Amino acid sequence: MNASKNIKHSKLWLLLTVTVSITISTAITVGQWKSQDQIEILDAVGEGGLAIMSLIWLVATLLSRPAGRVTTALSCGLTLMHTSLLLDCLDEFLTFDHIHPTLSSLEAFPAFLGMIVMSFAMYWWYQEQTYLNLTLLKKERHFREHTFTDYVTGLYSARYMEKQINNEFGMLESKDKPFCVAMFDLNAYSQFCFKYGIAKGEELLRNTGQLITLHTRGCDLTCRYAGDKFVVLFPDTSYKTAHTITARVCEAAKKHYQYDDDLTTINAMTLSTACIEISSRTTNSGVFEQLISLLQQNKQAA
Amino acid sequence: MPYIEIGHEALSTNQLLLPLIELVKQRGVHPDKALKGTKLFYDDLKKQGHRSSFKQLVQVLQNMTHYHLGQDLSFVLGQHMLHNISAQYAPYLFHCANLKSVLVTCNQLQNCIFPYFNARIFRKKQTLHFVLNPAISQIQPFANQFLLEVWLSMVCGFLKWRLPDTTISFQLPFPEPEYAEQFRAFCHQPLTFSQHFAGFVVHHSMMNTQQHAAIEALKAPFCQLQSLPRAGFLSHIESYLIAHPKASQDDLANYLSISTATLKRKFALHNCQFGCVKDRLLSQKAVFCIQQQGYSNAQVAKLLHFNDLPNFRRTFKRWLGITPSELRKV
Repeated sequence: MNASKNIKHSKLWLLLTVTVSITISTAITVGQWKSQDQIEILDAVGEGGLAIMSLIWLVATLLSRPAGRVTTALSCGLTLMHTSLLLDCLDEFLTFDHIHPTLSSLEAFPAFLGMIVMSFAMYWWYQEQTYLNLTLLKKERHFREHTFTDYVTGLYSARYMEKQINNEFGMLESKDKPFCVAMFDLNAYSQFCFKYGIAKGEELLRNTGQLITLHTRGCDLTCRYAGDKFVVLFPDTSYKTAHTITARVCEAAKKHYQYDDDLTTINAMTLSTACIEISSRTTNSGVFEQLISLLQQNKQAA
Repeated sequence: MPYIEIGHEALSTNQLLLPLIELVKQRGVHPDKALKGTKLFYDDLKKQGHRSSFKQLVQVLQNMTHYHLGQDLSFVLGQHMLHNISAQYAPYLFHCANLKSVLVTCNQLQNCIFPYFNARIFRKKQTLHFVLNPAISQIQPFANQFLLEVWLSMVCGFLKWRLPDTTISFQLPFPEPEYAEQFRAFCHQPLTFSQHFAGFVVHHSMMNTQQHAAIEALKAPFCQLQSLPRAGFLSHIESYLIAHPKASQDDLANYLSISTATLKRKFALHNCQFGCVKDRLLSQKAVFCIQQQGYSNAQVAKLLHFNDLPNFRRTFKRWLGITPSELRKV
């Protein structure tokens, strides 16, 4: 009982297994085997291939998607389609003409029903994606590439920021719109990890990423640079505005507390920051080096 | 046996392997997948005083290449190692008065702190040059780069924490990787990539930089350590060859009290040959003499016991792929 609860989508897996078993066993029990000269090998291979591919899609859906309405509808639709394709394949080896001559023609109906269900699933999926895009608004800009994601914070990595800065350089040249880039650095992160461990340190990084995202505008982009450093892109923004926003993020960070497993307050975190306005084309690495050296200066001054 | 071989289960699992497996686990890979082919189980690693071999560590690094674990893994691991080592060796390291004392202590404790590399020292009037060589076995470039990143993150973390006013130049033998930001974030020291050897350069003026909050009187003497771990196989051989530059393979076999055939088998087990080790030591000396001391080809050839100049030039080209004069231009 517990094992079935632990398996993701256990009911949908059960539905798939039962449907496939019933389809195959009913077809074999009710149908009559065709003679070897009646079997068209090419047709059987093609239709068998379609049935296998639909099964792979179904398994991939069940393995990759979280539970919910969209997954249920997608799986049910694909199960019905798979049933049709399976019947189509079995049709090559078995005949049902002795029961009723038109019985074989009914094999397309589950697929038709499945496509209706999947159309609903696609519509819900579109709605779901619209909501997800809203939540990702501050994490990505006009481009999605999962390999650029930072595993620890869920934000995009420095690679993604480099691409976005290159886009901004393009805008700067074509429309003469300067932009700002800021870097945030967690103070005493190393000591924090020493005291509370790497796992707690990674949690702090995750929280900091979310905090920065929360306190920047919808049009800004927050990425994790490396280690305890985050980088924020302020497109089409003056230095004064960007500086005000970075100061607000630092203020918010001072009021944010971490909690231990037994809900004991650990400490408030503080952020060091550096912000630059870019009004002429330079290189990505040049921007980051300038930010890091300014950050060092600001830290020493503090 | 006075040295650790690749298959000897003599390295503390708690120091690098266990934190690595924990990190990999945190990033969504099952420990058993990371430990595949090592004949180790995750629960065994947690046992007090558990020891594992260098071969098992390299196998784990090989297994990790199949997963997308993030490019900061080696650097985070380095920070973790720093905390581990700080907790274990604080009485020896944290009360060294200055950088010079820290370097002497690290040299004494190198088989405890980071037994995977062996530091060879070259002295110049104004600077000290440290070259890092594999201590136990020759390994594949990706594993070597991973271990170098761990070491670099650990050393730079220590410098940032205890000796923030120190500047040390680090040299890395691989080209600047795509994830250069990790180096910029974790290592606040000057870095140069695509060098012939891994190492670092310390200026004599830095030697007296004071360590924060160090009280020399509280520094624990080395005699308090129960026993110092043995050096690695390659490290042990290199020490002998540095002291006896003209030694042949038979001399080395005699020194190790084994037959020449056994020595050859041991070399094969450690992915190298007698000639490779000797070439590495000679080439490092040649590069130092040419680049740092400005020696002429004739001077270097004489120092390295070459009979004639063309032979030296040809051998140098074989070692590094460039001639001595090309190296001077670089």
